[in-house]
Amino acid sequence: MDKEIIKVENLWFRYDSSWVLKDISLSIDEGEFVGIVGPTGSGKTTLVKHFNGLLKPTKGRVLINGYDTRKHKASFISRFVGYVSQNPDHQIFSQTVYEELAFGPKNFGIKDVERRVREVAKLFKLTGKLNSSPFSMSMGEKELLAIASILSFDPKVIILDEPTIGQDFVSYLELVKLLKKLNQRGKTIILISHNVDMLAECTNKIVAILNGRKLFEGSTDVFFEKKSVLKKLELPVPHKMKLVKTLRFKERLLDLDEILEWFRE
Amino acid sequence: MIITQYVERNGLLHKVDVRVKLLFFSSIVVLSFTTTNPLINISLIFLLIVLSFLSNIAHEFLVKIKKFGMLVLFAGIIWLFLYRFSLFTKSQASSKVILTLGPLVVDEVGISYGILMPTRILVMLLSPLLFLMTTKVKEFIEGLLRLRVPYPVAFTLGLSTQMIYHLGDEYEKIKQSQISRGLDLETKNVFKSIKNHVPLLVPLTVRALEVSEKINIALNLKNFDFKRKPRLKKVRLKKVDYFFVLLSLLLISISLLNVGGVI
Ligand SMILES: Nc1ncnc2c1ncn2[C@@H]1O[C@H](COP(=O)(O)OP(=O)(O)O)[C@@H](O)[C@H]1O
Ligand SMILES: [Mg+2]
Repeated sequence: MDKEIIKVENLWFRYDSSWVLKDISLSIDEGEFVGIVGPTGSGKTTLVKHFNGLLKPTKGRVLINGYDTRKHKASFISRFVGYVSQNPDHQIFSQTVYEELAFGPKNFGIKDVERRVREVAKLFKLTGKLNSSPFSMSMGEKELLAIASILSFDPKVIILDEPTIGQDFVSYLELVKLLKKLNQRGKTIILISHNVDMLAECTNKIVAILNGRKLFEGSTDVFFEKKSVLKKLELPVPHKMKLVKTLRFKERLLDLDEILEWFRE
Repeated sequence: MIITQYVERNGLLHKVDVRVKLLFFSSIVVLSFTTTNPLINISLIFLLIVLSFLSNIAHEFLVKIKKFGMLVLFAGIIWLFLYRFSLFTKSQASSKVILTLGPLVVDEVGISYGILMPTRILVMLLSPLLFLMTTKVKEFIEGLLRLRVPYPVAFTLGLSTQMIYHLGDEYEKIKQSQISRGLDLETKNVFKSIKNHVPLLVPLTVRALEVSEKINIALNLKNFDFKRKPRLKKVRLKKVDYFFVLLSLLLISISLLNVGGVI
């Protein structure tokens, strides 16, 4: 599973006058769970919008599954990389949840739309709501629907841009569980988040952006060891890391289940 | 929440009284409408650009001009060929044919329309833009009140300029989220293109309602009273103001001469 799915080469980008992304190079392999961190305004959203061709490099090159994003429409590149927009109200337009989930697959001309929709609905516990209106859903439900409506066309990569679900503890655990499950099934996941606990729990790789430049790219374990980098980004050490330290665990990070297991013992 | 287009600078147009500015920019638009001379429109665009320099917002202004570039180019090409079928243009039987591309004929009148219409569109877009970039919403509303526009009307007008800008932003985001789900907005097929815009219009309507709802709540929280007109301080016109009044009168005179068929 070491196939490179996203490759960024010396990417420079500006909306109008000043550079927002400066000489960024990175690569993401299929099956990875990548966290992107950086202060607000550092260019995270701008960067990931290059991953499905919504934005094209001013200078440099972005290759998605081997396709140069400048040479293909965003609606084509999006087949491989699904970007979940920050506000679900920007996408919901259908009369039923079913149609909303079927929108992507239909646009991409995928066969078996019905099966896909039912599968994804089951995963998100939306089966009972397929015939109801998405406009009557709560904000949390709408956000889940937005993620589901990307997964329904089964892109190789899914990008979550600062999901606000998962901010309370219960939905946090739910989201973590769901994302890990998807990743175990082979989905490449890119998660933009300020939540160090979620990043430590889920990701195996971190890309840190500061003022439009790449500050760090490497494994999550190494990232949270780098005190100087964390300081520059004004990020706290995740609780789990503190726990690992105080309890003098093995070198490597444990995941939540392992820690719970340890407490049970 | 509301993103203003106002660019805070210490520039020429920032200093001009709102009423004078309204008069001035209206006279530019009126002149652009009444003239059939592409040169006048080009001069007006030039004037707007010079004013943006004098107001220290040239950079921001030129970026916006660039955004309209494609639209204007497109309009130019359309008018170049299609003016012949327009109800508004005079007969062109005598116009010298310059180029024939199959069924498409380019003649002298076509070329002048191909320049006139896009420059006219540009003036109509850029004038309000420059006005809003150098005028605070609050000033705009107060200016309208000084011109005896009823308060609710003035207030709504001021707010709607912000809404339009805000919704432009929303529209961009909506577009991006639907493209992310494979919606093809770049299709060459016109009918398909129209159909493909439906998934944009529904969320846009929803967002528009939500934004106005939020504004409403914000105003209620601030105990805003639509019926109570704010007190206006007396303001005196300055030298710059008189200069712009004169300039406006000049522009209006040219319009009048145009309408009278003198030029
Ligand atoms: N559509 C846009 N037009 C102009 N500038 C933008 C636009 N979107 C973002 N920016 C600017 O680009 C910079 C990076 O923004 P963004 O990528 O949204 O950062 P982040 O997601 O890390 O908060 C910011 O300075 C922001 O103001
Ligand atoms: Mg962002």
